[in-house]
Amino acid sequence: MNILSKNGNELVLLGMKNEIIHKGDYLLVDDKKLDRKMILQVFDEDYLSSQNLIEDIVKDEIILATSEENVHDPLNISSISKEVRDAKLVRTKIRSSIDVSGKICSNVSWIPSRVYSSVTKLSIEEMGILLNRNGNKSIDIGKSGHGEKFQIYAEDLDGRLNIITGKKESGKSHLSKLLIKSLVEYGAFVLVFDLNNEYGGLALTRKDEPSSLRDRVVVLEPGSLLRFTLDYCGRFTMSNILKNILETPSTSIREFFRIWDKLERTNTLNMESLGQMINRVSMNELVREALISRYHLLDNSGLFSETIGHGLQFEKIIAGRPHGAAMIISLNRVSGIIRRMIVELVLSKLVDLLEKHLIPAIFLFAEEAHLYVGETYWDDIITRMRHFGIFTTFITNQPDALGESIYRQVDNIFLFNFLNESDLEKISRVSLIDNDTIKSIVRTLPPGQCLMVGKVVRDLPIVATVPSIDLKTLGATKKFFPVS
Amino acid sequence: MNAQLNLEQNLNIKTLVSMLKMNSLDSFMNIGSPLKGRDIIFTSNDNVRFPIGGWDKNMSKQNEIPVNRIVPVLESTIVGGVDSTCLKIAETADGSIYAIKCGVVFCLSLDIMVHFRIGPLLLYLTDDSLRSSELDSRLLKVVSYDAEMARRMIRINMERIIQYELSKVLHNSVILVDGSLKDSIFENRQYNLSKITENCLLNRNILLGLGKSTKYKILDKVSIGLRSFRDPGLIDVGFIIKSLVRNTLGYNTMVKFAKNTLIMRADIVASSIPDAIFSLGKIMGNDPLPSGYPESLSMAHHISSFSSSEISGIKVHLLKKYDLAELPAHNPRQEILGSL
Repeated sequence: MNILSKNGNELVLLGMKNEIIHKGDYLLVDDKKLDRKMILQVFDEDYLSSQNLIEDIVKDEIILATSEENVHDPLNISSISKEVRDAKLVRTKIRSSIDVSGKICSNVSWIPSRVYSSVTKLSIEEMGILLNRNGNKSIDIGKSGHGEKFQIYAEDLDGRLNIITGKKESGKSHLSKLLIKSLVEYGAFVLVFDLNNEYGGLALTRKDEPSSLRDRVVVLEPGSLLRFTLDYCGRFTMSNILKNILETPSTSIREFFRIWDKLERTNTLNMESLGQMINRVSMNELVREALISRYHLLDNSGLFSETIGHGLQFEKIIAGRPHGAAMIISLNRVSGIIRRMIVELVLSKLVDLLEKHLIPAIFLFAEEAHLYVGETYWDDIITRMRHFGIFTTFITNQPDALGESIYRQVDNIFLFNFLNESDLEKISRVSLIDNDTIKSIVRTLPPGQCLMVGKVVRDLPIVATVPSIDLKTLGATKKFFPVS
Repeated sequence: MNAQLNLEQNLNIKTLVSMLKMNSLDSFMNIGSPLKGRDIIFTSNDNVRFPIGGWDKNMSKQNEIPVNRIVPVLESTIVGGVDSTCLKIAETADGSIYAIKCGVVFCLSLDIMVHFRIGPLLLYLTDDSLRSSELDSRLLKVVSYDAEMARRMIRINMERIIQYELSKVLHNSVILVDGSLKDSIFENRQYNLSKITENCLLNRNILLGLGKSTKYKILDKVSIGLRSFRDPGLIDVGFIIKSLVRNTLGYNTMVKFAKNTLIMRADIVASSIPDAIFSLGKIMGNDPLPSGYPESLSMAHHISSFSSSEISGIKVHLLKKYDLAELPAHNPRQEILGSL
């Protein structure tokens, strides 16, 4: 390959057909005269098109369509001229350069020589060495376009805000399962808001045999395992639910906690007593009406245990699985309001536990978060909760459903295929890399292949194919016609 | 200072003007009265151009030559067109490298049947290789110094080989040649025009040389009748051609294959003018004639022309195969005169 032209931070190279290049590949330009190197990333390929070449192609096509051809070309020059017609322009972005000491630097204010530069492909391994990517907990995230193994490090997900996005059936859930599995295998605690009942199968292989996560997966369904005592929930969490989810007026909240305190003092804080007290205690009838309606919602949610001391305790789950656990909170069978109550309750409780240092930091995987988290709450999740030790990964097929504030603070983006222009526009506006790369690479990604951007790849985007994992697939769409 | 004064005394503009007047070009420099009121067409890049409707619209009818109508002959006959292109590709200290491409196209019953693409073939002309050829020593010098002549020599020889083969292989067919049927100085002993004609007569083939343009203005003047003729037609201009050129073969005619199309020079190897008209009728009945020009010749031209990718391919082939070292080159004309 040879350097052809430069436009801004884009370098155009001339390549031949037999030079196999994939979008997302890295190239190293070595300017032997200047003794400097430049790292480029391929973001698009195009034909080398001159007016003459196009005219020649059209002329040949017309001649071939007109009659049968017999060729006598003893020097086989036509094969070379066909190669000329297949010459391609490889459009690349200048990502960084390598200084004399061999270290990556951001100074790309020089241009490599067209005469004395050589262009070679950079392997994933070479990239890893250049980027000084290392860690103790590697995650095999897939293979590059040339079949090279590619790893990210769990340490690079630790304390970070991540987004996994792409169109439907592009491989988002697959990647999130891979990340969850790897994190849990490394002893991390992962909480998943499972909207479509997809993650329950993490404990089983495709053949229904126990997976490597075996007894480290806990599926928490509302009304079943996901039941808390009022005492465990605490005033703070309950106040958040009443205020943020049930939109209870402050006077009524005050009255509610007056009753709460009374029950707490008599050690009878449970749903039954709470209901009786709301009906019995003297208060303004309008306040009572408001509290009764909220009480019935809380009671019918199935999230609260009647018996004192018989509720779910996250710290117990974590303590019982010291080598990591995946807590799957199943949200698929509950209504929107209960979903929001669950999320509020779980997050508030986790923050409470983290504040008291009762549990270690936790990785949160939230699928289609916009369906159960209010917009104003996002900022809270990604700023305040991160400091307490909740590290969120949003999984969505609607990039515009996530607020700008999330994108502004995001550390890693895993981008799967998008065809929709407005989605691409949104992503390219807020993502960590340039518009051209996003639009060109993401648009052509096949299912299962993703473009990784951010800290996990040291800010140099890498394309990889996510491998298949031997885990039971749940959450398949129920269909009318049987699949043969 | 003295030298400057001497120069001004001895050479001034008046002296130069008087010198020009004594020159042999002087008689041509009086352009005013001979040019006044004339019709004109401006030429560009040496391309031959012709006025639409001819040079002299008011020419006397007396100069007209009777026009013979050509009637399409709907008898299936193979019409083969041959054309070639030769380019100078490179130079070495010892000689020049040329590339040639040929196209042969066959039509039948107004359809293109098959075509042959021959080449690109490469030729390296050096003094040694030219000496070993059968060229006359004077021609040898011309060819070695004049690239245009060298290209002509290569084209003539290549085309003659193909035409010779066609004249042997085909029977009762038409062989179309781009240009007039005139013996060239580069004719080969083995495959020359006479032998091709001989073969054509033996195999009852028609040999026809078709020229898109002519350098003889007189032919344009005498073809006024053909121009206004509504149908395909032919005029016999043999008496003019034979008086101007030696070594022409067959009947020298001007033809038009359709109304309002180009009038072309056609040399036809035939036994008589009616036979020549019949031959042209066969072409009309078998070769599609868009714009009044045989498609076989037109397509042979396109097949034989070099594409830019082929030229690049040839250069790559030479560099790769023969271990050549490409030297940096400069264009002295551009360097001296600048890009403007």
